[in-house]
Amino acid sequence: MLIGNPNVGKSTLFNRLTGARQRVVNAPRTTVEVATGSWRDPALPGGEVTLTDLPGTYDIKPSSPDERVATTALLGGTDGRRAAAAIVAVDATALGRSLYLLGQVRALGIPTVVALTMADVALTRGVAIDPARLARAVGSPVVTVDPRKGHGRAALADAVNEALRGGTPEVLTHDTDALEWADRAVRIAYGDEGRPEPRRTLTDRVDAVLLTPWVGIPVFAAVLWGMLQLVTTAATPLMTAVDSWWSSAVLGGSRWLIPGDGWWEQAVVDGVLAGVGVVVSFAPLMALTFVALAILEDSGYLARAAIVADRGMRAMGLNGQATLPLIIGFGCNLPALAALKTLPSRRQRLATGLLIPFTSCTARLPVYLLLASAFFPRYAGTVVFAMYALSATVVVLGGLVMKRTVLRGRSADSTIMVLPAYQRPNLRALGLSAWTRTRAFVTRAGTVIVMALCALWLLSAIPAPGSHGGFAAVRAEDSVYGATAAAVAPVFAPAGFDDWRLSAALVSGFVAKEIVVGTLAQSYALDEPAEPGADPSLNERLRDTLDASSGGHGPAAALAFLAFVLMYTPCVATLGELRRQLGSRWMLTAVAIGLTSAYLTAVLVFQIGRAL
Amino acid sequence: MMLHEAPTGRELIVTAARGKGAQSRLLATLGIAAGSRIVVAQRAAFGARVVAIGADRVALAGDACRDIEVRPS
Repeated sequence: MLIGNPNVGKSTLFNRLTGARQRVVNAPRTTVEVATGSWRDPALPGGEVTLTDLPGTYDIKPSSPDERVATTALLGGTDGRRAAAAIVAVDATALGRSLYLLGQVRALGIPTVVALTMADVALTRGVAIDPARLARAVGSPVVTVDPRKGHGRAALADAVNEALRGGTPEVLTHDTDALEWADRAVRIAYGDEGRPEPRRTLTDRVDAVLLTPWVGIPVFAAVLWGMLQLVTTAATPLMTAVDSWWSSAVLGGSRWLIPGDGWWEQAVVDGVLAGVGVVVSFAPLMALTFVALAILEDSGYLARAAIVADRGMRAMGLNGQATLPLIIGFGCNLPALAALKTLPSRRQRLATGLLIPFTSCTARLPVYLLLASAFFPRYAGTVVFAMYALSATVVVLGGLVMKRTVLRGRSADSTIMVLPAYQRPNLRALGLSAWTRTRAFVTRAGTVIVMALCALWLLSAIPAPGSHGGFAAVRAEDSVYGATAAAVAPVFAPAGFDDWRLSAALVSGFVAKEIVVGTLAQSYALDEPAEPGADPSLNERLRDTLDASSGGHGPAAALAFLAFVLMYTPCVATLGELRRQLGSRWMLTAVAIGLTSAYLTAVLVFQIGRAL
Repeated sequence: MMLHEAPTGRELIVTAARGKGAQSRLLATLGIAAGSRIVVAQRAAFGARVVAIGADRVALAGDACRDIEVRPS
C-alpha cells in the first residue's frame, strides 16, 4: 500500500513504479477511486508486487470516505487481508504532518518503509533532511526518492523487500499519541540545527501577487476561460474527427463486412457499434480535460484558485475548490463530474455534483439556436444569452436551496489547505494519468452509454401494437419509441408543447443532447440541418407544431421547451459518471430534481408567456 | 489576538486553535495547535491568510483564521 498526505508526490511515485500496468477502480461499495498496479523490480519477492495507491489523507482515523478507504485497506480490506507492507510518502518540506500519518500507520503493526519526497524543494527552503538520522528517529528505513525523475526506485525496492521479509515491526503502544510521537521524531530528525526558520522562496514571491484580489481574480478568470475553450473549441475538432473516422472506417467497414439490412445487422451496426462510436468520440474530450486538470494540480495553481474563489462560493455553501468543476460544466457536464475528484470532501463532491447538471453544456446550444432562430430571428443571440444567464442563476439558486434543505445541518467546510510549491508539471506523469483515467471512463461510463443507445435502437425497431411494418422496418412514429413519446406528450400540455415529435426529441436528448436537432428533423422526414436554424422548412414545421400545441402561443411554448432542455436530466453519459462519482441513490436524486425543476419551470415560463 | 489580526512576517505562537471537530483535528495535523510557532507569510484575497510552518505553507480562509488565537513570540 502506498499512503501519504495529498500533494506529496505519492501518485507520481505510483505512476513511476507501475507505469502503464495500472488501473483505476472504485473501492468496494464506495465511490472513492483507488489505483492498483504491478510494480516490477528484480529486488522484489518474485520480481513483482501489487501496489495500491490509497487516497491522499492526513489522518487514518476516518472522518471522510477517502480516509475510511485508506484505513480499511490498511487493516485488511473486504477480504480480511492486511497490507503486507506500507510505503509512506513523507514530505521533506512538511515533516510534522507526514510523520503524524507515519506514526498512525506504524501503530497498526504493518511493516513500513518511508519514501522521502520533495527533498529538492526542501533544500530551496533551507531544509536538509539526513535520511539516516530520520530513519533512527522513526524506526523505519528511509529512502530518498524523486518520483518525477525516477531516482531512488532501486533503493526503495530493496527496502520494501527487506520490510516484507522482516516481519512485524515494533508497534507503538496504544496510548502513544501520534502527534507527540511525530513531534519527538521531528526534533530528532532536525538534530542540533533545530527546526528551520521560514525562508521566503520564489513560491512565496509569486503568491504575494497571485493571491491578491486584483491579480488573483483576473488570472483565475483567464484560467477558467482557458478551460472552457479547451472543452469546446479545442476538443470539438478532435471529437468530430474521431466521429467521422468511426462513421466511415468502422461503421462503413462493418456494413461491408455484414451486408444486408436485416434486424440483427442493424442491431450490431446501428445499435452496438454506433453506441461505441459515441463513447469513443468522447475520449479526446475526456483526455484533454484530464491533462488540463493534471497540469493545474501538478503545477500547484489549483490550490491558489480555490483560495481566490472561496468567498464567492461560500455563499452557496461550497468552498472555492468547487468553482472549477462548475465552470467546466458549461463546456460539458461529463468532464465537470470527473473534476469532482479535486474536491477534498464527500459533502463538497455531492453538492457540486448535484449542481453540475444545471450548467448549460455546449451540446444544448444547437437546440437553443434552432428554436431561437425559428421563433425569435431578430433576437436569437439574446435568447441564447438568456439561456446561459438562466443556467447560472439556477446554479446559484440551487446552491442556496441545497444549503437550506438537502445539506441543512452540515456546515460548510472552512477552506484549510496546504499550498504546494509551484513546480513544472511532469509530462510523463501527465500523459500516464490522462491515459489511465480516460481508459477508466471508456470502459465504465461507456458501458452505460452503449446500453442506453442499444435500448433506444430497440424501441425504435419494435412496431407499436396495431401499427404497420415489421421489426426494424417501421417508421419512427409507428414504433414503440414513437408510441411512447406520443403517450408521454400530453404531460407537456401545461407547458405548451404536447406534440410527440417534441417529447421524442426530449427522450433522445436524454441519451445524448447532440442528437436532439437530428431527431426533430427525422421526425419531420427531413435531413439534419448543417447549421441549426438555417433550414427554413424545419423552422416552419416547428412553428406550425408549437403554434398548434400551444393554442397560438408558439413563442411562449418555444421558450418553455428551451427551459426544459436546459434543466432536465443530463445525457446518459453524464448519469453514468454521476453514478460512478456519487452512487446510484444520488444519481437518481439528481434525475428526480432535474425532471421536476425542468417541468415546473417550463410550465411557469409558458403560462406567464401566454398571459403577457 | 486572532490570526486574521496578526501582522505578516513576524513569528507567532498559537495559543488556541478552535474549530468544529474535524477542523480542529485537521489544524493540529497540519501543525497549527497550541504551542506551534507560525509566521503569517501572505495576506490573501477576502481575508484569507497563508501561514508558514517551517518550510510548509498552509492557506486558511478568513473564517478559519477567526478561530485561531495567537501571540507574538
